[in-house]
Amino acid sequence: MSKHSPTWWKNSNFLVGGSIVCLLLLLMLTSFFWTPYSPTAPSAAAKLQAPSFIHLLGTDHLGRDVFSRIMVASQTAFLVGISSVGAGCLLGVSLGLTCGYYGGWFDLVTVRLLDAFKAIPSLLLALMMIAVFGSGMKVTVMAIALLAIPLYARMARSSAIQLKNLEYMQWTKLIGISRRRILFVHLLPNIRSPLLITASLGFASSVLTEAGLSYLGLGVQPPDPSWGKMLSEAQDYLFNAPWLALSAGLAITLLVLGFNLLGDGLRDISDYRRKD
Amino acid sequence: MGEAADPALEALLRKELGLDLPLLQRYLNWMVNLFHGDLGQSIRFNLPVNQLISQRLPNTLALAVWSFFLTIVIALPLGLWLARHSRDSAGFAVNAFSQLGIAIPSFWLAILLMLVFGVKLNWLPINGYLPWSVSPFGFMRSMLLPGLAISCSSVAIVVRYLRASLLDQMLQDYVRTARNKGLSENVILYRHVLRNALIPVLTILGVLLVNILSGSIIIESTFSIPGLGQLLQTAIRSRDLPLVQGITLYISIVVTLGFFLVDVLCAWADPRIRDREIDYE
Repeated sequence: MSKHSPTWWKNSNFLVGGSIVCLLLLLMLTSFFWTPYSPTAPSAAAKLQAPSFIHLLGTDHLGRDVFSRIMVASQTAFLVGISSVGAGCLLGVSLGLTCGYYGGWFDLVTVRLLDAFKAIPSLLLALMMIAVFGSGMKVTVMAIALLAIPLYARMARSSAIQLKNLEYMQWTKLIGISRRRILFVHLLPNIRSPLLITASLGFASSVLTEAGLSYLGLGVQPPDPSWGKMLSEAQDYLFNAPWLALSAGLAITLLVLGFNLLGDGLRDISDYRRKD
Repeated sequence: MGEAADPALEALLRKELGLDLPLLQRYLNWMVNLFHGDLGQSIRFNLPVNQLISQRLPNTLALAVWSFFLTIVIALPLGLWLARHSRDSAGFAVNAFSQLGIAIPSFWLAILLMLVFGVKLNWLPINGYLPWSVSPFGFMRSMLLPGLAISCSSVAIVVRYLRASLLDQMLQDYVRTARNKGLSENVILYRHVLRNALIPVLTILGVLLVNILSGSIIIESTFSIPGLGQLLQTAIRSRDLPLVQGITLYISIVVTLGFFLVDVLCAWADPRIRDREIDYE
């Protein structure tokens, strides 16, 4: 973006993204021990109320406070994001590093498999897993986490290939450092900036996938809270209570936007883009 | 079948669906039938999977092509305009716009569009599908909101790439030569720069295809469009695995064909790609 390598306090993408993520993270952590109202208790007297000082974002068709529900549902979004990043970092990165560093037939087979994953949209793969194992929180989180693996593996593999031909990497082999140590002590720290970028963007896309699945009614099932599910419920009250459709969608957009901006900011800072 | 199903009946159903065979045998049967063009029988509808899919596939493809068309029609002029008016403030606006465009979930945008143009202004229908073959105008009218919702993120991606690529090309030597020759800015932009700038954009068409297809799977249910996405939802709800398998296969074939076409298109547009050896990563 800018001519000179920007540092983190000058990069607006990073700053804005980071603030949004921190804000939502704080909201999520708060929801564990405090919400303005009970997110599950229905109230016949307060059905479909417009936003006001009593109910900041109004109430839904059962009289539940929407703001409290948004707060609690952020736990689901973060759970999905964190588990996909976790699976990607643990399984994807180790697979990618091993393939990239060793090469050979194992690498060839893995690359073909990773390519095959590209041919099926990840939403469709997640839907397929749900068709086999049933919907619900557990399957949704696992499916999205598994689908993140190819992304990280591809990134780690191409980084490993770039790095292994560098002089100091050749030296590690010459002076007899064990292969496992080369991989995890010498290679791994060097891919931390592409890894951070991938994790940030991957987090955002997992949140989006979960919201889409739950919106279709095939992901997280009630009583588990989810922004996507809230949105599909709101759609039935579009004429009477249009504000219901605004809050949940805004929450998804903000979280995705936050992580995307953070990822792009990190990319600018680490200057990763200029290499290609 | 419930929990307390009659064991004899259960065994009969298992035999009928071929579930009594070993896993490998079942997979082999499926593959053999696949090469005969037979994807099996849907459990839910009791009809051949092929027949069900071929009824719905044209609608999904029509929606995808329409969304693709909208993407190009919106993104191309927008990218060109932004590249011509490139100041720092414009750069900021483009970044903000494209970040938002990518972050907004298509189904939320669909709901917002319905709210504004369907409910408040009452300009466009919020559901009901008219096939292209019945009335092209009706198709465009009823599919305008779904199309816009699906193509939003693709527009954001294309505008971003196109603007960056145009600005990059504007700094090249041949542009300076053209200016010195006395060509007008318009001729330089449309005859010389745009052609070169479009090549990097061509390479992301595959990504757009995946984007648009996944978008239409979700959006079909928002606007109740009778396409593959809706069929897939029904299939998943009723655990109709042969149908799920069939739909996934069809969509993967469409995506693979799309990727292939993009590769051919790139090679056609840029001879340098044709000569380069294919390298994986």
